[in-house]
Amino acid sequence: MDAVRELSVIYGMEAGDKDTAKFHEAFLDQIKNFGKSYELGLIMEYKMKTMHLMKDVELAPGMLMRGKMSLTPHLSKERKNIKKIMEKTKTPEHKDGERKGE
Amino acid sequence: MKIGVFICYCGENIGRTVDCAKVAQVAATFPGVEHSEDYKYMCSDPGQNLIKQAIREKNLDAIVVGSCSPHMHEKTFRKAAASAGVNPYLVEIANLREHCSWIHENVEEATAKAIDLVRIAVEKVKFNEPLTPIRVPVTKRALVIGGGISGIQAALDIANAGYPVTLVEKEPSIGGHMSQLSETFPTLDCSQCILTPRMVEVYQHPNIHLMTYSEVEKVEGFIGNFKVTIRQKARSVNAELCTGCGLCMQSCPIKKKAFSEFDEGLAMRPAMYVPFPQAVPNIPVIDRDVCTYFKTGKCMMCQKVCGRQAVDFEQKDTFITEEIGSIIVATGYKLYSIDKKPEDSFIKGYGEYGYGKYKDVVNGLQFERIASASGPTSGEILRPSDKKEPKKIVFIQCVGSRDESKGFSYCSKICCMYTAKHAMLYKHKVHDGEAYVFYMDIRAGGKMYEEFVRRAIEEDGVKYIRGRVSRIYEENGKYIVKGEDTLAGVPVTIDADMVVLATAMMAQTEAPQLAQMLGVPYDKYGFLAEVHPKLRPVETSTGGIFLAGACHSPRDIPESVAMASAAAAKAMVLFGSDMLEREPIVAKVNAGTCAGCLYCKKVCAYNAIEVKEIRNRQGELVKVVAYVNEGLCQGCGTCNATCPSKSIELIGFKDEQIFSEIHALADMY
Amino acid sequence: MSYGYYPGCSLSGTAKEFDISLKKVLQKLSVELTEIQGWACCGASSAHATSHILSIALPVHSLLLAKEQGLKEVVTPCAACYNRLVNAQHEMKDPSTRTKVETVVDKPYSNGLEVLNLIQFFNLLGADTIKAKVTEKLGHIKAACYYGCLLVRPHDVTGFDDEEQPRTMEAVVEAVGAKTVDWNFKTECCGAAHSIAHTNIVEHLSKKIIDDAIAHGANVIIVACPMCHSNLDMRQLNIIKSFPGQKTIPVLYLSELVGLAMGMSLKELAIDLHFIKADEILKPAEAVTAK
Repeated sequence: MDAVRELSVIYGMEAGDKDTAKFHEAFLDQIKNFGKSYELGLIMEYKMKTMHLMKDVELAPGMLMRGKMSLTPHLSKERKNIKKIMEKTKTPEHKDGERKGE
Repeated sequence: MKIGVFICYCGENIGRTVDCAKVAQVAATFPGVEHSEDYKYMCSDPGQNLIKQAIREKNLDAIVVGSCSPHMHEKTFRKAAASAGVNPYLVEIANLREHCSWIHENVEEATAKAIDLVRIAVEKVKFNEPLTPIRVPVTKRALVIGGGISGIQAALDIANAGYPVTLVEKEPSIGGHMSQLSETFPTLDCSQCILTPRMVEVYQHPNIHLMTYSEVEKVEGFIGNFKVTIRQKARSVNAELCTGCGLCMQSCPIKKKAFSEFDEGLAMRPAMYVPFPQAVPNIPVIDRDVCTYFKTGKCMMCQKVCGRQAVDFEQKDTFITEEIGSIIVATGYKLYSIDKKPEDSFIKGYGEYGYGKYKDVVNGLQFERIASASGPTSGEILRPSDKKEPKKIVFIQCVGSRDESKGFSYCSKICCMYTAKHAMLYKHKVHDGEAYVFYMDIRAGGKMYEEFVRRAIEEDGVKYIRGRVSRIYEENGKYIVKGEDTLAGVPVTIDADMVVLATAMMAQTEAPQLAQMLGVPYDKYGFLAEVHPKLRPVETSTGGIFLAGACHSPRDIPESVAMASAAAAKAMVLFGSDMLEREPIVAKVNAGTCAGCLYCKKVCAYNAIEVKEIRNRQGELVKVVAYVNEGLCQGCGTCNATCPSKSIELIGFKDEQIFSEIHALADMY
Repeated sequence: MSYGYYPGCSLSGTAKEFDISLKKVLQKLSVELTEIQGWACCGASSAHATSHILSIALPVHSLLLAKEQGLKEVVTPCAACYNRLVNAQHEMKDPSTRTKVETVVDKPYSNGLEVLNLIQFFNLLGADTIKAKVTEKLGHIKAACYYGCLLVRPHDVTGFDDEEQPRTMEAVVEAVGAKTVDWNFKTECCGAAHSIAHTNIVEHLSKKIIDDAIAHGANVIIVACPMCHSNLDMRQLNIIKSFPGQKTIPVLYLSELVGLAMGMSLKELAIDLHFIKADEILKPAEAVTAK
């Protein structure tokens, strides 16, 4: 199943499920910048991309109070290497169904 | 020696790639070749006549034929030579087709190779000796292992032809799985009604020696001359005295300790029992694992009520040895169980269907017992758990079949038909019931089979859904079946009252053991192997042993019956003559040089090497040597390759013959 | 005794109770965890949904660090991280994948690390070792052990327990004296990463799990996965809102249950950080029935 998803990016096809695609983009952006997931950053980027601005706002106070959502990201010592890895594996996009290879 | 060479074009097969005329021309120049010609179709009548004519006209001693594989026509050319007066074993075939024209493209090179092949055949035949077929005597008695429908059919065919048969069955009664069925497809005949007359015929037949509750213990010998030891297990009842009145079974107080094997675990049976009322023979058996007497020494009710004093607690297993000419294996099948299997098993069981823990998720044979008038519910379709009538039954096909991850890759052949049958029987009995069948494909290839399935769909309203079931779980007495309708492209959930699984037909657990006893090969599933899947489906590679029924592969009743009759016919071919002729291409030991190391015996796959003692005139032992049983030897030559002192040779492929072929090539290059 | 530790991103955030309770339990057992220096995110669902090589390269990067730091075992409480790590090890057996990933991470790969999920880790420490520290009677707890998708599937990769009817979590729960129930939804999906983009899917799937656990007599659901916990605990609030009359049930991490058995308090184990209160079940049987 994942193979089909990856191929759709290679072929430059539009995602049928846009919200999930944007979620994945937002998630991976956090890893690229910090090496680890940053929940607040993830949610903010997701909301900006999808314009679902009020999503889960009612949960925010609960999360912050419990200390479950850090205001600042946790940084991995290896984040520079992680960024390199992610740049190397960036799936090449290609329009018009022309296949560029793995 | 005057040799005749005959090169065949085989139409286009050889002629297109090999210049046959040239090969014949060059062959004429080989030393020893007196006659050389080519022809379009050597195997044809005119072709054969050319050979016969040449032999007569030129007084030929031996012939070489350049043609297709010896597998095809070696016999043909041997017969032709024999009819013209040349010993059939002074005939050599150079395979110019499978070994030459069919595998090469370049005509020049192929022709050169063909010439070489003929050259070495000519050199070999110079060392051939005239041979006569080996003759072994035949015991005209058959053994049929297994008393299901296949075994019964085979035994009757042989017995009716006038030959004696011993029929061995491991259960207390013959009948096999067919006796458990309620009705048979596609006619919906009552299974026992059509089977029991045959069972009685077997019992009463003067030529059939029926041994039930017995198993084959040991098999020795070879085709036409087997010696079989059969263990007759102790029934604890004297069969000669018992009249089958049944008082002992009624009086047995242990009624709830043992699950009835015949009812597939859906009902109990007493410790003293016959598997079912129409059992043949109708002589009961004591299950010593649950009988009070055998556990504590008390009770003995059966003995007290028996008017014939037929109960014998002291009875032991007895061993009977019989001389047998041919053996038919008809041991049948068992059903795949969805229980959890051990880690190292190559099949897995079905956790998604509950690993067998749900009482109302049953298999095909269990449903047969429920539907059967003589079954635990007297033929009413009732759930095993609460005996309520199910209003919705889901049937699932291909459980364990066509499933490499959990079971077997093969198709069990009968399930599509019997599932349709089950659904129809259910609808006939529960008019307002709903029947659903989850299938992948429908395989209904027999006579009137497709029409039978259509009837289930069109007349009886059975709903067929194409898709697999991913899970069954129980909720409030119902079984939630989660499947898929692939044709509509939607998931399907059905809250069923009962589920019937069409589980795979598999080989019996003891089949590999029996096969090893007989020396018959079997596959990874335990199914016994035939010699050739297309042209020799009932013979095994062990001479004199034939296969009938589901022990070979999944099949339905008409196929089993046909196969049984075929096996019987094959078995009777042996009985047609007093002596059996075998190919003389066998190994032979030179007792003079043999050191008796018996390495040959170790490597012989056919157990054809025996030990022979050489004694002097005073009867003292001089030495021990190997000795080839010509009845068993298949001429594979492994012993020849193994012998450190070159004391064993394969007649027809002796060292001089092989060396002459090698020299012929070496001298050229 | 020290073991390598790969906490995963969520254990410092949304699943901090998991981290806290696990460390408290191990403290009692005198077992140390050595966190992998410089570990990075395993990629979770987002990596494998968009790039096959990235989904292997990320875990491999962290595994190689563990190897360099001399660690032999890597304990991974998060079921998703566990699944990604063992999957990476599995995929690296293929030579062509291995070459590609080595190019991307710029290091040669060697295996030899044992990746353990929480249940495997508890089994490794030994039931007797854990039982020895149990001081509380938990017989009034009727746990529905929820495995989710990633602990036992696919069997070829995890090689752990039975895919359809697993029992290893029940063994741990019973070893610390709690009771377990037999129920139908042990391995059904909770909705996983759809939590944010398609919350209604999570609500539907998680509701089924909750309902089935309650229907089979459970008074708590035990999980070993931060995603499952979030979907069953935090999202239970959504479910309660969307389905009036919805019955509720607290959701505990396996490490929290073990911690309770060892006599620690709700607060110590950070159980008070859950969205669904678990106070009730911790009162002994008499008090509960009296209600």
